[in-house]
Amino acid sequence: MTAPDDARVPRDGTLPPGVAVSASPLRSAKVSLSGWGRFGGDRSVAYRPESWRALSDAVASAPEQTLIARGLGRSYGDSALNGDGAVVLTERLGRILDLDEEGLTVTCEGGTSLARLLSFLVPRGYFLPVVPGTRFVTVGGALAADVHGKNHHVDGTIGRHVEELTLLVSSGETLRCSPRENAEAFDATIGGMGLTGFILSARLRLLPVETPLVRVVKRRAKDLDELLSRLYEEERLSRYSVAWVDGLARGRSLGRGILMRGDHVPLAEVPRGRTSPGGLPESAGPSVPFDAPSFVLGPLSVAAFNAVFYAAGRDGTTYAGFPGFFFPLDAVGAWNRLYGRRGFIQYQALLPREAAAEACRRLLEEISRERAASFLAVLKTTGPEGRGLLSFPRPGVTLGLDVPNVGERLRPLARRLDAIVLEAGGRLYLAKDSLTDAATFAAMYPRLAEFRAAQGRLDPQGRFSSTQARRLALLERR
Amino acid sequence: MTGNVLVAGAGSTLARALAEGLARRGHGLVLAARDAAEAKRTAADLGLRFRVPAAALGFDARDAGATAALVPQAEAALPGGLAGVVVAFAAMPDQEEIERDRTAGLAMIDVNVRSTMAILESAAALLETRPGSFLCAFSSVAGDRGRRKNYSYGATKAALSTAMEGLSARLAPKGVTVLCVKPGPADSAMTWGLFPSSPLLAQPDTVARDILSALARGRSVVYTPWYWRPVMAVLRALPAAVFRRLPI
Repeated sequence: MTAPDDARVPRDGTLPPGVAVSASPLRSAKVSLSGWGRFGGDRSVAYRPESWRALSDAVASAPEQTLIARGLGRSYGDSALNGDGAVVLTERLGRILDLDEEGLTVTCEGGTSLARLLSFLVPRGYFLPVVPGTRFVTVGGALAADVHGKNHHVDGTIGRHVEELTLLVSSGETLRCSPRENAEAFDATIGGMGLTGFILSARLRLLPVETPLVRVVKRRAKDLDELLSRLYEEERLSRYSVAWVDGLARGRSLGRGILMRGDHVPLAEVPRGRTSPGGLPESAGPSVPFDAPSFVLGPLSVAAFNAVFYAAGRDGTTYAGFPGFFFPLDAVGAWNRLYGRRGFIQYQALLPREAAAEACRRLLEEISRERAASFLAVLKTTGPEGRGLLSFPRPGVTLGLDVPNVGERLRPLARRLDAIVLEAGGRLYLAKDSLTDAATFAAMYPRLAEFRAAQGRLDPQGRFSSTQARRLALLERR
Repeated sequence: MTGNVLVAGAGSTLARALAEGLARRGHGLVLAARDAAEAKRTAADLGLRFRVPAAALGFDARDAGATAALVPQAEAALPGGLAGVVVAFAAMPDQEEIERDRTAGLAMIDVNVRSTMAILESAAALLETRPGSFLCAFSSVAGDRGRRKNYSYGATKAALSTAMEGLSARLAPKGVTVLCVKPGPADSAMTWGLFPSSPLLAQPDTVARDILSALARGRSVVYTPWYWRPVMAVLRALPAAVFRRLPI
């Protein structure tokens, strides 16, 4: 169903000039911002447009030299920070514009959260073909980071499921981009970290589902080798697969963990007495109300948690509501505060399959040697590379780790991790990265020059930039 | 209480929040805004999410012809006609600009008084034969007292509040609710950057909830958030000689 098309053109020409009626002047506010890791960040100039016109006004007339879009601020590092430039908050541009049930697509504004989208789609029998580990990201942010999910080995990144997007570029023009139309702009925007312009709207393909349930199969693996070989063997058995790794286990148990596979449950298979959950909250559960003292996620407590989690992770099949399977951390609002005031970084690396076992072992050893407790270490297999010029996944394995800010030891640790990844022929994920440098990044992304050229053609004046783009020299020098 | 509701000035944050609340309660919507494309996007969103009929109209309150045509147009826009009308647009130029430039003040009066009251009158004529229907317009706490910083704007809102008090008396016997909304400053594009993280800034959803519950109870005036009622009661009670010395 779409809305009746009754829009008429306002008769602007006949009106007395002068007065702004309800349109608001372009005004910025000073806000405190950081990435989700709460490591770094600062006071920043922010705009918060409530209409497409106000957004293009900001692009045309904001006095700051550069702008970057910021959705729900779930990128861990400095992707959505902009130093002396300004950020443009997209939170008030989150409308669902169309649902095409024959063509199986949904169209929405860039600021729409996946939470809102899923609470709209799931009761109607649809799911998004790719979801990341949290539903509190915007569609614009998800496309800009070209996010992947637990089904990358089957379905690729979210960019593969974009029918079309509209991009507001720095000239004020709106470009329709798809793999067929303005393909270069499309490929630079998917995974382009907001540096090509604003994603005004996007049309995404849908996955029909019969129930909101996921059948989850869990199997424990006693060490890294077993875990990896299970991942490789079993990935084709399910649409979704992921492994949780005990980041603190050492010695013979290094890399022990639990493999979790999942599939959408057809109606005929719904277990007796299991009625489907109706509504899905668009906001998180109870929030962490304050910065936790550092012992909350210190080495001892994480080790204890991980030991219990591992012991309790019985092999077997269960049925879970989809939020519990896809978004376990969404149940706790502001969980990033658990790492305390100093924050943390998220370190996610992609490793080619042939080098994965050795590189994972060395990364886990480095982390556990530092006693840098990793509450959440996640391992998953990835499939073929997508179109995005700076997209992260390619065939192999990705390992994601939370690393608490251990003060002055953090940077050297990150350098050592980077060296391991680089040597393995791997790469880091822009949406997670906080600390790497331009040379390392360039060595990891062979299509960076192509991206720079495409970005330069779309934004010749250099209107879009971010703290991360400057740190990693993602843009052409002008 | 269901049926279709016209929201005139649907581009504003508060109007969008109210429209969402109305859609959640099952009302069909006719959204009229100067930026027709925006109104269309909001109508699409609310229509889809809440499975209600929703239409959009381009409308500019400065245009007398458009003002006169709005209610009949909205009545015809959706099957079943109207069961409610909300007027949410307003002009709020700087007081200093008005003092400098007479035409800015006159244009504001045109929008806030002439156009608003014209729409309310034509809506009253339509709805007075429909018991259970409602009329609602956004006035302001600024209309309760004249402050040196925005007395011209406040004067237009005082005129509107007074008109609505009378309109309410006229329509109450016919079972039509007339609600005058007096919001304090809300967290919207109008106030963004003006009151840095002020706890007094109301969230649009709060304002919408207050309005819907006042409509459900058949109230004729609602202050939102609630604390503006006692605040304004105190300010109204102050003698002019004291009020003018306040640093507000």
